[in-house]
Amino acid sequence: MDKEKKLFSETRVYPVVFMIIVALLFGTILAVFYHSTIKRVELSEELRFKQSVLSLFSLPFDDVIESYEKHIIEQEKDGYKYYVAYSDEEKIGYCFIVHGAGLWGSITCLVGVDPEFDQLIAIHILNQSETPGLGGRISEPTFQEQFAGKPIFEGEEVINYRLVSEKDAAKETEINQITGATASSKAIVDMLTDNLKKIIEILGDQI
Amino acid sequence: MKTKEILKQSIFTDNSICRQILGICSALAVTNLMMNSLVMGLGVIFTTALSSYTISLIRDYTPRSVRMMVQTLIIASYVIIIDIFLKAFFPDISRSLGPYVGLIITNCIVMGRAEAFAQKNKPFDSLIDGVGSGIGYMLVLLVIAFVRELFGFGSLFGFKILGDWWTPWSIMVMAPSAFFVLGLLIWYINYRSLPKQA
Repeated sequence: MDKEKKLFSETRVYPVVFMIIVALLFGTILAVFYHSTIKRVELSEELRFKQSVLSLFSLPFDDVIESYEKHIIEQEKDGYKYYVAYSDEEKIGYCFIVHGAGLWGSITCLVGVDPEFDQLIAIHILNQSETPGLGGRISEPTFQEQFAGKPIFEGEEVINYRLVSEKDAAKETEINQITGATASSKAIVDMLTDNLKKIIEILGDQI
Repeated sequence: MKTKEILKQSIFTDNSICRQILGICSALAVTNLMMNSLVMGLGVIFTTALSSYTISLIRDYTPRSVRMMVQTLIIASYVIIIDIFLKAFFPDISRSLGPYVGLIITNCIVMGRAEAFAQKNKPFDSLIDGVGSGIGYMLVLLVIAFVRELFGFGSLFGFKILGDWWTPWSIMVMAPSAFFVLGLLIWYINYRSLPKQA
């Protein structure tokens, strides 16, 4: 019969079968590739995190793992994990992981605080997905370095840094915002205030 | 068609951005820094070349009704592979790229070349066409980024070129300026090339 001579590639099911095969093929390739590299990715993420913590306190990181074990002690209180940095048996500061909402996605940031809880030692943005070239510039050293040595309290309250234009000189309670990225700059400042409040609440008696 | 001809056509005479007006969105978004543009360009070259090659390989077996789905699937797979590869082996580059890698999927040039060229040409020719289109894209991006970074930040590739006397034009850092620069560029190129065609 003529009908049975019809080629398989002309039947109606062919596109469906073809699509399924292609999808399975590429899905498998991606899955295999993902699983074969996931260990590497996790390891480099961990190294990067430890290196960030060390650099926050200007500790050496020639050998990241060794230096981290020597200087950093991980602690926990009420399920909240934080990090204490020591140099020559002396406490040189705390490190906290803080999260906040940026303009597009969440921002994860390390905050270093001095042992007296008077001022910030440094901040280091770990992850952000702000607009590249605009809000994305919050990751640039010039923006982050501004926070070093800034006070944590203003009077009795946890400070909320005021934003000033990039060209103006910033006072102690001010931060130069990024031109064209007010929302992202504001997100960082608010994130610090909110999280520092929470941290002080949790750790209140220990500091 | 000879390899040289394909390259010349895809880079210059049929330049994706200036002549086909494709890939405009990313050209507006990432061109405020030279470095961003370079990296985005390399990503697009890689993706366009490999996806065109693959699509061309299976073009005779692909039913017309599902060809676009197949193209999207292949393009997305390559972009994810690049993303994973960079994360695993070049974490620093991966971090500086951030959201760009994902943006490549949405680049109209990749699918444009798949539809316009890879569907009806040999695999090797498609590969060359993909590389050429990517290079053409990157060149235009670099030209726009040159203007925007120089006037917006006073620097090129992050190095300060203009001294402190220079007042950066904030508008150059923001997306609208890319409309002006790109518009002027397309106008100039078409003005130069149209009389020759007549």
